[in-house]
Amino acid sequence: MSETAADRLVEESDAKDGDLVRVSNERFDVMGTLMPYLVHEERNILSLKLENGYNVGIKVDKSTTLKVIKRPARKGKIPRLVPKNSKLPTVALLGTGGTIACWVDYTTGAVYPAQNVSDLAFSMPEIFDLANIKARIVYQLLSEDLEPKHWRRLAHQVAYSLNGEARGVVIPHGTDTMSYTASALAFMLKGLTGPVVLVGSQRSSDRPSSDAYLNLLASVRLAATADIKEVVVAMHKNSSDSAIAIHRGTKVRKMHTSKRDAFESLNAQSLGFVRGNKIEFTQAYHKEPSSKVVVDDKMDDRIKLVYVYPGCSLDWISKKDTHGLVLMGTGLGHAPRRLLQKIESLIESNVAVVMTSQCLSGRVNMNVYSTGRKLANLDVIPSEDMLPEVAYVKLMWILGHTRDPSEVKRLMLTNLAGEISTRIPPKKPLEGGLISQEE
Amino acid sequence: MNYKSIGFRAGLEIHQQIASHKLFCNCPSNIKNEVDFTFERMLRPTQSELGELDRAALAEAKRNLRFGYYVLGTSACGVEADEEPPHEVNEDALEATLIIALRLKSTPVDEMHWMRKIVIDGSNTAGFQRTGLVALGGEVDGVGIETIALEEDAARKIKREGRMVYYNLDRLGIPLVEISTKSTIESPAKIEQIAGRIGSILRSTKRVKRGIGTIRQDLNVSIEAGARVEIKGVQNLRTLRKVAEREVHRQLGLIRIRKELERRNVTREQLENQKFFDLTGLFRQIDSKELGQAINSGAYVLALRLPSFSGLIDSKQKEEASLYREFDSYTQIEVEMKFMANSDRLPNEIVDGPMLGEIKKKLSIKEDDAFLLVSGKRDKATEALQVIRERAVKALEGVPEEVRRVTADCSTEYMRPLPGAARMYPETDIPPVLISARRIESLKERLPPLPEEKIDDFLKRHKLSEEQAKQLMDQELDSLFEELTQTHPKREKIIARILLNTLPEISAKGIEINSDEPVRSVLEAIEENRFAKEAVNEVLTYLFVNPGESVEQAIEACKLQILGIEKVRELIVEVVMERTELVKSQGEWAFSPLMGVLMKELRGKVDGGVIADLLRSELDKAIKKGGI
Repeated sequence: MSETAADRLVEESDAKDGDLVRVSNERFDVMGTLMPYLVHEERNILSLKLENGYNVGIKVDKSTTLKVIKRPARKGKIPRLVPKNSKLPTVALLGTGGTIACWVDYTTGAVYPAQNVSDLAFSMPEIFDLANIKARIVYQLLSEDLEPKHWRRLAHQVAYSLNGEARGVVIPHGTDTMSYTASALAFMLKGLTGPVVLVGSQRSSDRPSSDAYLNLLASVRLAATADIKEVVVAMHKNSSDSAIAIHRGTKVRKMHTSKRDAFESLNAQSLGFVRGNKIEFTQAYHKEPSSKVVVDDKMDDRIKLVYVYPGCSLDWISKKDTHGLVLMGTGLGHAPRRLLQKIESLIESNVAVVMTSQCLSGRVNMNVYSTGRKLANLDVIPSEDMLPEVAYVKLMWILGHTRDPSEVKRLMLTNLAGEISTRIPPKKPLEGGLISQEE
Repeated sequence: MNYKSIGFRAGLEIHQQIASHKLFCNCPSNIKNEVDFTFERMLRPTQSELGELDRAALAEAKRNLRFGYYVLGTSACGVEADEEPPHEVNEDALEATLIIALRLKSTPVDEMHWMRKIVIDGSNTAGFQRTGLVALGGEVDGVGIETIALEEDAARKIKREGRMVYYNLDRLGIPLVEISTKSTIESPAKIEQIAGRIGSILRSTKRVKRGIGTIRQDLNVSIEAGARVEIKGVQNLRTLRKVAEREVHRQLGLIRIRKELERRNVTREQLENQKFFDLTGLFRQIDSKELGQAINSGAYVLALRLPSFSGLIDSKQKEEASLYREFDSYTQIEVEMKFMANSDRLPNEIVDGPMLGEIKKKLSIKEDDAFLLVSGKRDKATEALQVIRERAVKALEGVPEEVRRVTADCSTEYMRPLPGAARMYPETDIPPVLISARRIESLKERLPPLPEEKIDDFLKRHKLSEEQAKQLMDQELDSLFEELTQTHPKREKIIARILLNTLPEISAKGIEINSDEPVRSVLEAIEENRFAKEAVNEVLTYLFVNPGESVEQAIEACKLQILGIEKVRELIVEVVMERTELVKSQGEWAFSPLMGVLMKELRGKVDGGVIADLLRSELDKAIKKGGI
């Protein structure tokens, strides 16, 4: 990145972001706060926040001068103590990054995620009325950057919290890969003693309309009071700020890029919802008591998740570094006949091949059409109604424990964490449209 | 009034909808009252790093409202519902804003940065309004332009039911240009002039919407001893002046009250230390059905003493500034309740009998003291008295800085505190827009002419009268006029006459004028001498009544009716006159034989119905004349 005249002018004038400066040239003579310029470095622009609150960009030319008028004293953050009430249950808040809690610095206009315990907790002070919050930032990552190793670390933190004081755990998480983390935790955590609630926000928390507040409040309420002992995802039930749906961690998927009710339970009903201070479960859930949470975090990373499409190829998959392959097949669970030979040779080399469907909704059935039957004959494992991502995480977990083909198949077809629905009742017809109506 | 001597200063903020689709999505800018479905939201002010909140935002948040949104799928999408990030800016709207900026001699910034202006009254689903500063500086009729911004219009408020406020999303996102003048306008009359001038420049660009609700004016007014007060939502240009005058009146009144309070040595501490008194017991005895019922259903009556405020709260004159009205609008906005009474104007139930004495005793009212009564639920009544006490403290400063709104009688009432600069932060979802020097140069080359340039052109080149030229501008027929004169040079006079006289005449008959096509074809026909200019009115009328028919058809039809009918009438009169005896003897029964005579003459030339109608009326006349 080359230095522009704007960079040089700032440097020569010894101006710092946040300084009150005066910028003059042939066209403008304005005072304002110097802002960090982050968008297009090469544009040679000075960014100023004027007294009226507006930011403007002014191009630096030969006639442009910059003068620091005043350097404001940096105000310190107001330290805040997390309140403690011995009558309330303890809830662990495990931060992973994501934008559920961010802060707007109105002086510089910067928006950044909560960096510490109190930032996170104080973004929604109402949660202190529900529980003693023990907050910890586990890592600071965007959810698209999370790897299986992060799931493991998180699983240990959850177990540590639940085996300690915490009655329940809330995990604020970026929404992009939240369902992957949810299923990883569901497979890794055995004998949960309380609710583990993953929560995110679709509309960033730097806006007054953010869904973050209500989602977080509902999550803490769940973690503090519900008797469910499962990994769940709590997000808006519809476009309105009214009910928060509780989804089973192994049945949930992000189905929209931006809207509040993007998360849906597929091939299953959501478990229930939180509305105001009421929690209502409408489906059966796991609540059997347990004395200790155990983490079984053995996972095999050498798994591939491959989308099947017209013209697709599997030639690039090497037997050497592949232990498992999850195909997102077409329709009932199909792949072009052309690929059968490659699939057969992978299976012969003890690569576990699992078939899911890119339809997402519905069950894989490889008996109906001839291609399906051929795939089944090759010992491709049909994954029932599992979501492709869930089958992927599950296969990682299984292969972490065994590579015996029949055992892999048996475990894949065994319901380990609520990922398989034995029956999918027909659904009430849904109203289409962008925004679902208040139910 | 000598506005100079009181240090009058005013500035204008004009919000004009741009004629284009919405600013950050592709929804059309249509206002419709249909609704497909609704959804419901809450808004929470976002905290800044320092834990600071904007005071205006805080005042809104305290009201703890929920918002219902009406959605029509054809006029709002996920962007308005705050379910989808904004798309990139509507370039057409930006271009219109740049043209307006250049016309007002304002300098466009090199790069526009989109901002979020916190608004949590529900009128913006996101909790902020997106806005960007387009240009700085400029001047109109000697008054400086401060800034020109491009922003989203807010959602349309429909109703409020308790804590629920309903909005329609159709208006949300319509591009608005905001023009802010410097606060250097020196008289109310000048405000009207400047607003009118800006309005005509806006219209001259042909890029702005017209009609009710498409332009809104905000006003800020201050006088030397007063304070800056922002007045929102003056819809009508003609009321601007009156609103400013009444605001000056109000500020002068508040300053008078301040001086009087100073003279009476009222201090801030004294006011802040006033306690509230519970008079519920006392009021149980009162002989008032209304109050008695309220108290029996659990209402409290609380009182506040205002030391040395006697005579300053409620003026007898309706036009005078009164603290009573200020207190009232504060409690209505902040606590949503009206207060009951003040000691400057007490209801008869209190004045008559021993009540007043008891209240005075209980509150230890001295001669100069005033008191206020509030009735309602205990916490709400307490809150109302707190609000009144705070506002009473502000009376010591004279005029408080605040945002007010216009009422139907052109006066104003309290709306909310003046927002701080803290309410803006960058809209990171939309990239900044570079405005290149080349773009500005190219726009400058094709700027639409100013209204006065056009009028001048109409006078000199087209030889129109000044009145005609102005009318064309005012009625926005200038473009059509220019276009028609380009095709038909030397026909300016008739074109102006058609546009300014003939069309209004036709429209006055209740005939809808919904296309300029008939005008074009009539002009072509005139050019080719296909009919006489004198018949323009008739031919055009025919064409507007019978859309799709040709000028020839119209001429044919009109000939029959205009030239033909007169001849027919002559013939009928002749026939009737010749047979006076028949008419006399048979009266109305003469119709049939006469009709027979006429039909022999006119069959095939004129419609029988037309003949019958005319004959009936002529026969009628003849019978009356004959005294039968």
